[in-house]
Amino acid sequence: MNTIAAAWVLALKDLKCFVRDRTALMLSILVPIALVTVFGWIMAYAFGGSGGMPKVTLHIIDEIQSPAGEKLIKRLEKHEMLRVKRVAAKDGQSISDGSAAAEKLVREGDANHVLIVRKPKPTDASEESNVTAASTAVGNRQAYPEQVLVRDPGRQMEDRIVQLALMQVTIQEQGDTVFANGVEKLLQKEGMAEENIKSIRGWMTDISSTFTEFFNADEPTEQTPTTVDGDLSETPEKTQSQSLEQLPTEAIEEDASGMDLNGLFEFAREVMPMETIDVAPPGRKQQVTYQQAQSVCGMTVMMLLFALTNCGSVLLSERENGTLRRLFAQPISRNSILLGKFMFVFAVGVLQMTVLFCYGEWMFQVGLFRDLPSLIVISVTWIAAAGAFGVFLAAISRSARQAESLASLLILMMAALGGCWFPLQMMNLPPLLDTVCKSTMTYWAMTGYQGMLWSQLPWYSTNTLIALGWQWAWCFGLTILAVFFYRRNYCRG
Amino acid sequence: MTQLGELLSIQQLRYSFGSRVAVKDVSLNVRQGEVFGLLGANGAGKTTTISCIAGLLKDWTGRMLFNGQQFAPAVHAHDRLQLGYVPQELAIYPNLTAEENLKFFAKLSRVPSSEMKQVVASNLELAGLSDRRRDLVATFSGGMQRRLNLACGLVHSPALILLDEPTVGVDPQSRNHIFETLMRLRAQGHSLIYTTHYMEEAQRLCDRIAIMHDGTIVAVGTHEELALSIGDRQANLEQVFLQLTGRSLRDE
Repeated sequence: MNTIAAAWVLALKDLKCFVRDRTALMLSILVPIALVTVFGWIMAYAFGGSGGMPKVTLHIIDEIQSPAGEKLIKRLEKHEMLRVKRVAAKDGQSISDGSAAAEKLVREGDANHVLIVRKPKPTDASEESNVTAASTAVGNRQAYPEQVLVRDPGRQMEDRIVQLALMQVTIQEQGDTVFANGVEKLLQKEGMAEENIKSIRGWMTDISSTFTEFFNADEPTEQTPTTVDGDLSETPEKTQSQSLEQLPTEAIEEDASGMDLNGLFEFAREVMPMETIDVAPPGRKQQVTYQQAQSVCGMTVMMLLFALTNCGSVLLSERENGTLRRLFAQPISRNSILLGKFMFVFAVGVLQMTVLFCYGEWMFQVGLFRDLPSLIVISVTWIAAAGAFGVFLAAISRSARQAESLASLLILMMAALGGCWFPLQMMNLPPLLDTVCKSTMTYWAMTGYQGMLWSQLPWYSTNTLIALGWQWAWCFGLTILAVFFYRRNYCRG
Repeated sequence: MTQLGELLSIQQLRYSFGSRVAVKDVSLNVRQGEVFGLLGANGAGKTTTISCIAGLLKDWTGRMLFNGQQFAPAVHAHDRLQLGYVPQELAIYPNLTAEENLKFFAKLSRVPSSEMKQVVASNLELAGLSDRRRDLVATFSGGMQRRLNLACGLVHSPALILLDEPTVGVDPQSRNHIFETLMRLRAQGHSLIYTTHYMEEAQRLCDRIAIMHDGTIVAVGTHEELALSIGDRQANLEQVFLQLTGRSLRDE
């Protein structure tokens, strides 16, 4: 028989064996299908589905609950880039000290951007001459509520989206003020004398009106100067939205067009009639970005699962090599063999975590060792849960090949659903998928690590304790199942 | 041969894999210091019988006595301490050295740490691997691995050694070394149960032989007694075996 004929006979034999191994066959087909489905599904929501851009959550504290404030909030709610969540006191009343509440929300990681809508500050005499000219041009603009944006400065990507959305709405509402402020700032930068700027500011009244009319041209009900008690009926804002909708995609790709977008954003922020307060937990290093923390946490969580699943499959190797029979004949209990595997995977987990964290700290300086007790508690919990998962997989599998296929399928799915690859906060998930995500152990591991790294929460904070509790629940559940299947599949007879 | 005291007594041993009865009411006695052979074709029930004795299978029925005491190796770890099990597979760890393998099994067999060094050295000597003690098992030849596989079952100096076809795939030199080792163990007073389907091995090594067929023991005795049982004093073991178990092929 020549080489090709012999190879063909061997290939046919392998194909027959493959087709007859129904489990391996099913997994070989199901794994790619499941991965394509999960990633296709989750990626669709990651980028806003058919809407183009992802929605970013903007919490709003309405301190005054005035018609003007309500109008602003309604506009923000209608914005296609924002998911607005109103924050109220427990009794449903408005929050009087919005700043404290907003800062608490951001500091504890419950919100990334909080907009406080509050009563406008009374203008002092020196400002009056400047502001009044612009304000009077559009009627009761002086009653437009003051906006304070309390934000987490490390959430750069979300920040751009929020800033753009707020800019769009503010220009629609107060285009004249924004325009006047912008020109004034530019002239100041160019070094023009203050008196000349004042004169120009006066001339700008007419221009401002035109500017406002231009931005509100597609909104017939909004064209005429409105009063604070104006009609809040919904107004179509499609033309304006569509023109601005194009902007974020380009804007978040920094330097794609060669523009200094950071500078543009800074300038826009200066001329916007809005105060910005940055709130970062005191221990967080300022150079750390959310993406870095996300990557370190996500990859650590996912890779530990892979590593410990591999270690768990030592049990299968023992069976396949015949050493397990010999171990069963030793004067030791069979449970001690399983326990030994748990201990082995735990030790490997500790080793891998230590190496990964040291590398992560060296590479990204994400402040991993700032709170060592929390790092230890959170890591030990995740190692225990991931180790239990690895041993459980080995206990239910009939061969190392089956375990490998099953591990790839489950780990990649859990990594995607748990937010190891993409921050779930950036996604506009439907309730069902949100529940699915929260049912994964990776989700809770990510919650624990992100709480510690990003929001600087100690291990005994409520959010972290909940995350730890879920992981221990997974750990105990999987351990019980692993013992059950080990006794059934390995020790029977 | 001197009549020796009974070490292991098995009565009416029965074991089933689901509806298939693998061992049917097997009774046998193993004496102190003898090599007891279990001879049978593939699927005759040799490995199942030895697995029941080794404590690998627990749902058997019947009775086992060790030195006249109830014996339940699947349940009691101290009963397993009386046994040395040498499986058919090369149940050693290729990524450990010969020394580390012996040390590992010695630790599991509760060899005191004060005796560990001496136990490991003597078993390396027994396996003829003293000069390769620090080499990874993965680098060993098949024969060397077989010898180490045997030595790992002897580290705690058990009273009864169970050997499940220990010479499968072994070169003549290593096989001879294994035989000499087993003879030495017998001389030291150890009892051995030796399963094989190689007639010449059984004839050479075993003091008494039980011929198994279809889960039952069809004959037991010395070679001479077995030959007499078929009415041919000159018959070799293969002739006895074929006479007692038939000439049809065994595919189980």
